[in-house]
Amino acid sequence: MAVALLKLDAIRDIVDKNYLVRWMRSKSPWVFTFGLACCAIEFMATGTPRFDGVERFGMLARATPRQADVMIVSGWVTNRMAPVIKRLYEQMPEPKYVIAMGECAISGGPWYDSYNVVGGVDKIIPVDVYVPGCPPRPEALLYGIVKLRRMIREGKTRYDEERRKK
Amino acid sequence: METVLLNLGPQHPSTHGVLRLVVELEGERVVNVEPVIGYLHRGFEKICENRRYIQITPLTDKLDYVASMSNNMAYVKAVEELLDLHPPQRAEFIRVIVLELQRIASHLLALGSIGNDLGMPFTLMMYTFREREKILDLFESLSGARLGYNYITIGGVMHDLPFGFPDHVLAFLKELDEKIEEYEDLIYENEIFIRRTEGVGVLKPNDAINLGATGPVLRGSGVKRDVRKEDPYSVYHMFDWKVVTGDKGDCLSRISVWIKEMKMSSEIVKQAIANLPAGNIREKVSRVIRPPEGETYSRIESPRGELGFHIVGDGSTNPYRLKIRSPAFCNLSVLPHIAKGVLIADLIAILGTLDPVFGEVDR
Amino acid sequence: MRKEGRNDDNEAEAGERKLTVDDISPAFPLIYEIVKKVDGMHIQTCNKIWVEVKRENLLDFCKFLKEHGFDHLSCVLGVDMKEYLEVVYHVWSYIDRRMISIKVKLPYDDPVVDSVTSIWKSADWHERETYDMFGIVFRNHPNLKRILLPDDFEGHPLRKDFKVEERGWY
Repeated sequence: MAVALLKLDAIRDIVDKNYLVRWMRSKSPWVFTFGLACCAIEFMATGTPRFDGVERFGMLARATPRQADVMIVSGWVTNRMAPVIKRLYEQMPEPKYVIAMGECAISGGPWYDSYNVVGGVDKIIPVDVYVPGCPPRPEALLYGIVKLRRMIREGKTRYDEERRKK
Repeated sequence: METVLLNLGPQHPSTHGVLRLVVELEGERVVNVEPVIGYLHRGFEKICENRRYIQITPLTDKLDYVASMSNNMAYVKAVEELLDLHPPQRAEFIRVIVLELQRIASHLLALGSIGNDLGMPFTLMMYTFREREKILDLFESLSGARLGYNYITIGGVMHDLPFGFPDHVLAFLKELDEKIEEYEDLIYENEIFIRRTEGVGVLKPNDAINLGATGPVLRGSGVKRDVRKEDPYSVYHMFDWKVVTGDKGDCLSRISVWIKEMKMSSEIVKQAIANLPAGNIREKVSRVIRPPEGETYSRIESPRGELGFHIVGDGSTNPYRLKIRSPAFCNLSVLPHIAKGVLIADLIAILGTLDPVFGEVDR
Repeated sequence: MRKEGRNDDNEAEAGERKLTVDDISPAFPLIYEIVKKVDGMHIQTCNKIWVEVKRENLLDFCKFLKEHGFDHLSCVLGVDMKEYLEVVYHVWSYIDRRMISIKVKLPYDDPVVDSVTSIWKSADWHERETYDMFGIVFRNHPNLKRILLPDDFEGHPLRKDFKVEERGWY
C-alpha cells in the first residue's frame, strides 16, 4: 500500500511539472457557486450575458464542492461560518484554488473591529488571488480570473508551491 | 411514522445565501422546519456604536445589499428626525426617484432568483438581470458605484442629477414597461411555474399581521398595508399611486405583488420626474454631527418591507444605541409557520418568495 | 422621559413640539385610558407616543393595546443604560395609524420580563435576539435560546461592558 502511495506521489509530481497538464487545467477551472454577501451579487452579475465572465473562461458553475476547482469567497467570514468554509475547502478535490473577492474576504473590510468577523479568509485557507473593491466590479473579478488562469499555467499557485516543498 | 432530520445548508444553492434549515421530514412532507441564522452576523449594531453618524451611512449599504438606497434612506431619515432637519424639496424628489428605481432593481433580482429555485435555472435570471444592469448603470452615473452607493446622505443627497439623467430614466422606464409584459408571459403562461407556486405556502391575512410579516409578503396575503401610505415620509403623499395586493396569500400572489409593484414604482418615478423642482440638493450640515439627547424610531418601506432604525443619541458624535428592524428577519420568522405539511420542494419555493437577504437578517 | 435639549431652537418650533394629551385626544380618545395605566408619557409627534410601564403591568397593558387595535408589533429591542437595562416595544396600530412605544426598565442583576409572544407571535425572534444581545430573560418564551450567535458564545455583546477582543482563529 505504501509503495502504491509513493508511486502515486511520483506520478503526481510528473503531472504537476508538465506544462501541458497545467495549460489544460487553466482552460477549464470549474467554479464553486458559493455566495456569502454583497460580492456574491456581483459574482452573479459577472455570470450574466452583459459580462459573460464565467463560461467565457471555461468556468462552469457547480453547486457542490466535490466537482469544483476554484472557490470564490465573496463576502465577510464570521466565526460561525469559518469552520464551514474550511470544510467546504477540504471537500474540494486537488488541485484547488481560492479567490478572495472584496475587502471583507481580504482583510475584514469595514468590519475590522467586529467581535464576530474573521479578519481575512487567508487566516483559514490559502488564497491565490485577491480582488480588491467594495464590492469589486465584474471587470475586476474578470481580471482576477484571468490572473488565476495565468498563475495556474505558469505553476505559481499556492498548490504548486506546496507541491514543490514536498 | 418515523421522521427524518434533514440539514439544508449553510451552503446550499437554493437558500439565497447562508441559511441553515433543519427540516424534519415524514416521507416527503415537512413536519417541522427550524431556520438557523447568524452565519453572517458581524455585530453591526455594536460597530455602529464606535462610528460617527456620517461614517455609518456607507456601512448601511451592506445591510440589504441588493437595496442599498433604501437602507441609506432609512438611516438618514432617523438621524434627520433626531436633528429635526428637513432636506430641500429637490433632494426629496431625487430620493423618491432613486428609492423607487431601487425597488424595481431589487424585485428584478428576486424574480430572477425565484426562477432558479423553481427549476427553471438562469432563464428568468438572464432576462431580469438585463434590466437590472440598466438601473445599475443609472445609479453608477449618479454615485459612481454599482452596489453600495452612499448616495442619500444626512441633509439631502450627495450629488445633483447628472446631465440628461431624467431622459435616460424615462427611456428606461418605457422599455421596462414592455419587458414586464414579457415577464408576465414568462411567468403566468408557464404551466410549470403556476403549478409549483399556486396554492403553495398559504399565509392567511390575520396570521400575516400577527406574525409580523411586512412588505410583499403581507400584501401578497391581501392586506393593504404600506408604510409609504400609512406613515408617509419624504414626498410620497404628493404622488398619485395605489397599494397593490395579491389575493390568495400563496407563493404566486407574492410573486404577482413584485410585478405589480414594479409597475407602480415606474408610475411614481414618472410623476416624480415630471414634477422635479429646481433648487438646492443638500441642507448645510456640519462635518461633525452631534444630535441632541433623545431617541427616535423611524421606518420606511424597503423593497422587503418595513425597515426601521431606532437610534438613541446621548449628545455625542456617536450613536449610543442603534437598532435595525430588518424586514427580512421578520419575514423569515414566518417560514416555520407556513411550511408545515408542505412538500420539501415547495419549501424552497416558499423560501424564495419570502426573499430573505442575509446581510440584513443577520446584521 | 428625556427632554429635548437643543439650544438653537427658535421659540415657535419648540412651542409647536410640546404636545400634550389634550392635543391628540380628539383623534385618539383612547389616550385617556392609556394615561391611567402608564407611569410616564412623552408625545413625540401626533402618531408617536412613548410610554413607560412597570414590568409587572407589561402583559396587561399589551393585552389592552391588542384589544384596541394595536395588532402589529414592529420591533422589540434592548438598551443598556448603564444603571439599568431597558426593553422597548414598538407597537403599531394598522387601524388608528399610531405608534405606541412601550419602555420597561429592568434592574441589572435581575433582567427578567414577561414574554409577549402569547399576544403577538412576531415577538418570538425579536425576544430571542434581545436575549442573545443583552441577556434579558423573557419569562414563558417558548424557545428562548441564542439566535444570531453560536450557543457557546460567552457574554452578551451589546452590553456596554462587553469588550471586543481578538479571538482565536480557526
